[in-house]
Amino acid sequence: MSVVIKAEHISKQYKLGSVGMSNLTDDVQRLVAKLRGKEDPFLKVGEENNREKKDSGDSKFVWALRDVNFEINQGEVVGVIGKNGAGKSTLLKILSRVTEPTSGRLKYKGLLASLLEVGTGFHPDLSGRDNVFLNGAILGMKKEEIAKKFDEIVDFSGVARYIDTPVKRYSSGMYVRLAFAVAAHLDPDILIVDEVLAVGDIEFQEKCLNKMKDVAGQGRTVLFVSHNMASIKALCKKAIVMQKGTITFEGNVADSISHYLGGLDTGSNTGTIEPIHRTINTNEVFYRKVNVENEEFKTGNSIYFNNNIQINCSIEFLNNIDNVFFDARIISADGIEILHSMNIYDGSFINVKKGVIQVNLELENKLQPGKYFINLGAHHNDGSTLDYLEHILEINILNVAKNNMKGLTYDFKLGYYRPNTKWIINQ
Amino acid sequence: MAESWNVVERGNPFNIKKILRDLISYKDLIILFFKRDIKSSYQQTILGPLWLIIQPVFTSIVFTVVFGNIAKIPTNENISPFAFYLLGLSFWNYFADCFNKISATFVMNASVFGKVYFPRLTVPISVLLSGLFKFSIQFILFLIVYLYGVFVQGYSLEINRTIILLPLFIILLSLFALGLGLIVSSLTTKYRDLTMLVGFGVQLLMYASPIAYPFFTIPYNSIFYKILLANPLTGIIEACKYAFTSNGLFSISVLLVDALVIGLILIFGIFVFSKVEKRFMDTV
Repeated sequence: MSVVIKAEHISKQYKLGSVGMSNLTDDVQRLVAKLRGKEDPFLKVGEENNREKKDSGDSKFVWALRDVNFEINQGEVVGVIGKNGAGKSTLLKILSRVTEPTSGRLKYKGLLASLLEVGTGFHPDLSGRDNVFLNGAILGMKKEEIAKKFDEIVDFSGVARYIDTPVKRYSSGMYVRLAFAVAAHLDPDILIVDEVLAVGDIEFQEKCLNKMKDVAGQGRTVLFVSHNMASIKALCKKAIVMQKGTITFEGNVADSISHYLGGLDTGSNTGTIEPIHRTINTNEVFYRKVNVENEEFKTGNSIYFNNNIQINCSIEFLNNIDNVFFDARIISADGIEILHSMNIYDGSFINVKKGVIQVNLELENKLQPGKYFINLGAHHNDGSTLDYLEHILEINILNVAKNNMKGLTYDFKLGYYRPNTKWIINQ
Repeated sequence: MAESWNVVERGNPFNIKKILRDLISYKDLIILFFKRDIKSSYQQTILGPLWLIIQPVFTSIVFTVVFGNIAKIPTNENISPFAFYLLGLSFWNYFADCFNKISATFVMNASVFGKVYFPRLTVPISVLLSGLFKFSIQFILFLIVYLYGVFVQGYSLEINRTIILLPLFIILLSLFALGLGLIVSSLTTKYRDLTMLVGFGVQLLMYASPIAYPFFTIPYNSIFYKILLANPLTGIIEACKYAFTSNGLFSISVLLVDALVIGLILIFGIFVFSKVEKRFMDTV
């Protein structure tokens, strides 16, 4: 296997704020430094990209990428994962040559095409046919190549009847179908794909995913960015995890996904709730303290296999609110919601008085060993959410039971949940 | 894979050969951009490309009234005033249209440029092609009016052999619009001030070019005379007029200087454009 993409110390710096007079003075300073044969003075400053801290440091420069290095072999399908703002899009922009790195370099072999968006350059007044040719050429195809594949593209899109109608008359679904169809028939050695699969209806999404699998199966090198862990898992064998502009993990896809989810900030199990976890809030209800207890009522996030757990929450209500219910979700390390429970399954809506209340949830633990996250929420019966905490608790189910006699004999796990089962075997 | 590495890094050397090679490999895209411009311009209009003719005709009528009848600026005795204005306008419109559109290359195409890489020069070049298409329609209109003048109105047929240089003049005009447009489009990505300047600058330039009046109406060696001579458009447009009327400024030395200036502007334009195209996404 030969290396076809090489990133060598790629960094990218952006300036915060708007473009104005200060840019002119910066440019003049740069020019003076250059004329005197010195290094660009602004490359020495700048700080890591952290969008949450508004007043952290006073530098107006941030590094969207800092010293990124990786190599990708021919034929590999590699996922790029990371939180918003981790530098994924900046990396893709550099890989697809839309912008150049501030320092470092990217090397690649062969024909490289990128798909950061479907339907780039579609002109609303032109017919579907004209746009297929235009979009194909923008993506780097030759005219005769498009002509050869034209029927296939139209067939794939399923909008044959409208192909001579201006695309502005298309429904949005038809539009993306046609746009993706063109993109799917690209034929490069290296393909860079952003989250473009999330288009169209379920049936079409599946078609796209299968098409992507085909493309990946033809020995092509694919770099794929997505927040959808399921499609990353379905397509990629390897993945790169990014955080704050650097690569924090590189390896097989399952490990990478666990690393990514493990690297998400999780609240301590003793109760502090950071603002980052609070994804929805209406300023009426606040979870103040949450923790997990195992059967021995000791708090802590490591839990014996088969040991039941209890989640305790103190919730403050700033007003009297009627018809409230609570829910909890358990999410696997690879991002799948495994369990969901609401108090209204075994009770009814609750009228809560102003003040702090205690809500505890006992859970029969049949989870397979591994890392899980818990989301907690308080909702109103009209469907609105009052307070919602994402990944607020992290639990680690050990692969041993408390009294190891009845523990796991086999050191492997499949699936996420081990229900009580009864095997009836007749010989 | 025995292929060599393609390298993307800051400060790749300026390589005109590579730029041309990239352009040639994307020639289909240039043609498709050209077709898109033509097709989309006249979508949902009833008169369609007829608008290309209506516009210069009306401007020529206004010129005839304002410059000819009110200001009484003489035109050219070998051609009807109407044909004279049409000729100047067809060249001017070509230059001004191309220049304006090329100046807006980065700003207008930011969304496409931000998503996918292709040689950015394909866009300005396709603008020249669609400009040429519009120019040829307006030029045919001029020819009709010109021949009407000769055969019906009794003007003498004064076409001379410099007419064979006409394609060369059009190429010079195109390259001038391209070079100037590339410079402006590159500078406007960061500082939009220039957009404002270009807006009325182009209008002023028309009056500093012999479009609505012949060059020889300007007093010899006056300041305006020098300004006009410094403008590369003067030599080219006057030479075009000379080719049809044997009356006007036709000077090889002026044309050579113009060509040299245009060549330098073009090379500088391509240079800054190829610098800016790599990181304009960060500032546009």
